[in-house]
Amino acid sequence: MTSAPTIERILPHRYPMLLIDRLVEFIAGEKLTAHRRVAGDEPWYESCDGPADRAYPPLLLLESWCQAAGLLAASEDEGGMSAQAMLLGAVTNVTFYGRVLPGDLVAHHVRLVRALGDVTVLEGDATVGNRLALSVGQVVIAIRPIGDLSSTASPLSGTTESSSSA
Amino acid sequence: MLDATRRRTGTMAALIGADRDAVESLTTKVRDSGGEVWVANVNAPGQIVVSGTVSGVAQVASMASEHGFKAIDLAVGGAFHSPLMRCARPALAVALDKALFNHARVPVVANFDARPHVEQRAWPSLLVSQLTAPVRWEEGIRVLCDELGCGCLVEVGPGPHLLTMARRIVPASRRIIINHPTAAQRDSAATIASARAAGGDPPPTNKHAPWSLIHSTIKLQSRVGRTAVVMIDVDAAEPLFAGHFPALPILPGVSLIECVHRAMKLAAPQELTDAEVSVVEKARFVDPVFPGDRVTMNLRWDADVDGWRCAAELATERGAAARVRLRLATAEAAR
Repeated sequence: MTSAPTIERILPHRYPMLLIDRLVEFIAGEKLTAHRRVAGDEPWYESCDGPADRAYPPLLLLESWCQAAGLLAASEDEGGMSAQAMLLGAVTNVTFYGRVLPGDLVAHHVRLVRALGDVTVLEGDATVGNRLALSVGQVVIAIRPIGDLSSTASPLSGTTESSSSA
Repeated sequence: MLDATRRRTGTMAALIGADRDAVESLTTKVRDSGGEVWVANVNAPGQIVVSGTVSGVAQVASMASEHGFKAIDLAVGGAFHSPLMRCARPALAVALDKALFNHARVPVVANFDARPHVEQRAWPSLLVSQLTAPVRWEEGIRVLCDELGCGCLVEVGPGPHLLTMARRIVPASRRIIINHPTAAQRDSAATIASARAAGGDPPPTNKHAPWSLIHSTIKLQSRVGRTAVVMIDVDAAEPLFAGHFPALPILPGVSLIECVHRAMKLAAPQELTDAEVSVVEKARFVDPVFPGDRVTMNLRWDADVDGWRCAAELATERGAAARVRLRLATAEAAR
């Protein structure tokens, strides 16, 4: 069990883009379960077209899952991610099932498929209670030093599985 | 906390007409001679509350008149906001660790440090610290009114104790009390609105809205058959950049998928205007997108045996940024 401060130590994400509340199961290099409570007062609801649809934006659910995956991808002994960026390299076969609503507790289940240097391949799903909300065929996450990324630098010369963002 | 008050009995007293420094020096004097008493609330000019053992509080009270202020015993069950509450800290920390806090949409000023907070993770430690530390109410009200620009203070509850203190701290503030549940439901919105209309409070600003890329401008460039070119100028003011990442703002990959989703809504052929994304079949991110970038999306819709797909190629001025392929569910397919 790891508490909230550890999440902030590993993930470089911060408000309003830190979308993981709690790590409930963690086996390094293998799998984890993390929780996210969807609250109805989150900022993105303010710009909804109307109160008719309070469903959590599916892509934010995916972002939240990818952050859980990032916790598994980041190796803890690197001593924090403040100088690192966690980048989403690729996403394959992500399916959304039904709606996730304010008040729902989402459990993200992440399994590590393989790790190749700074690139990690993961899979899993997200559930609300017993219901499947999201299945993730495969996600590739790359961890890169911030210094390697800059809007003024030439395009990344990284691997084919590199870069843009989680 | 109840347990703590049983283990370490204590009480509190209000000192009227006192200033904080004078009371601090009194409590220090009593503690130097072995007593236990501390400043517990800095409520308003001329109103300081002390907290401690019964004898410690009595010693301060006995010296009050010679220093020109008046002591009033408070009918409380313990020495709140003093180190005598220390033994309640571990249990409260455990309980708060289980509690769910959300990020605040507007800053919340904590009594512990009189500072505004929005981060959800700040609260467990702030609240645990408050158990044994003074309530900096006067300072907190000043932060609300002076630093955060609140012109209208609303007290919820029987009142009007807090507003009375607020009047002493910021006499010019506009103050409203909501002390009846049905009245609150019926009147609060109207009351607050009328206070605003009277020039009390500036209109609220949705500092963190809108979400995602919703306010970045998206433009249809061209549409030919089942293809379209759509451009989006990534606004550097997008709120998400603050947290993604603090050290270097980068547009999240999922936001690029969202760009394609928006482009699709804008440019879909007639028969697909109500289509929704059912599966993200493939998204590959090859180069980061930064604030201020213009992203050009080339979209193409195709149908095959399992339905419609939308494929998009995204590029910035620096070259290819991402490729995204979405499977769509149409109302027709759902039937």
